[in-house]
Amino acid sequence: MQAPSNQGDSNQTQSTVVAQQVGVMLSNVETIPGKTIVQSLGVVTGSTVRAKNIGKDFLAGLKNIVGGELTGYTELLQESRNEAMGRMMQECLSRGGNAVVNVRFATSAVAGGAAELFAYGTAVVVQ
Amino acid sequence: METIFFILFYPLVIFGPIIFSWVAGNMYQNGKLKSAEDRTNAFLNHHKKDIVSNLKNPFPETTIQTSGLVIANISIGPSWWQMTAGGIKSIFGGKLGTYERVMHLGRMEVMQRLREEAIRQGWDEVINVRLDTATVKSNQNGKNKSSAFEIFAYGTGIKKNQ
Repeated sequence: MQAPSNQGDSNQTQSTVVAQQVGVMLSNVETIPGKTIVQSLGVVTGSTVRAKNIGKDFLAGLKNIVGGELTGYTELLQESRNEAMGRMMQECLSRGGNAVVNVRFATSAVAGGAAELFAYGTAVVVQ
Repeated sequence: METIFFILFYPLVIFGPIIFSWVAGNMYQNGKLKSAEDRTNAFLNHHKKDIVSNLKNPFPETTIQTSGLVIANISIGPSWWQMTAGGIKSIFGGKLGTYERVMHLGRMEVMQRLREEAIRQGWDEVINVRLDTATVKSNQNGKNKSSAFEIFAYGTGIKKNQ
């Protein structure tokens, strides 16, 4: 896996760090561009359910006075999504794949104040 | 004296927060929208074209060296004033201008974040971009004065063969 030039940058997102550590390539098109798929290993999924804490909820409620971005929620959802992606990549590795193609994301509110972040895709072996 | 005090005081208690939310919220959100628009325009002028697209293959057709997933998200909420105005307007139906503004702001911002994230990770272009919207918290017919949506964009960043 050839890393792009400035991926050693310290402020890159957590997801890229995870992907690099685990060594799984991700893409949301049917192929990994520039590589050939030699084997398909089926659908892999990863999900996480997260609730907001009371402090963040309260601060977000205050922010609702003027509206606009609710930074606490943005960060929380980002972390959760990275975790879901990490689990998906783990499952891919345990099946012996080295890439996940056609990745899709879904979000649903399962309980009051909690959200499920869900990532799924097809695990493949690429060369 | 007391009656005058109450006549002045009660409307202030009831409508004060909404009026404050209207004035402050409009100023704040206009500023954010302007900043998002400025950043988008500066970015497009600098790169001469938009690097994001939702095509499966880059156009024009090129050979690709490496690729990877790029994601960007924002969670955004309407102000109290916007929720109230939207609630009143939804009795009669029709377009809810206040909510439209919030969603527009969110989309502008998240697309710009996706572009910036792609450049920071070193990709030349982002293909097959998908946008998702989810309700994080609904305001349950105005019972709790809080509401949030999440707008989420993802795509495949590609690096072209030079």
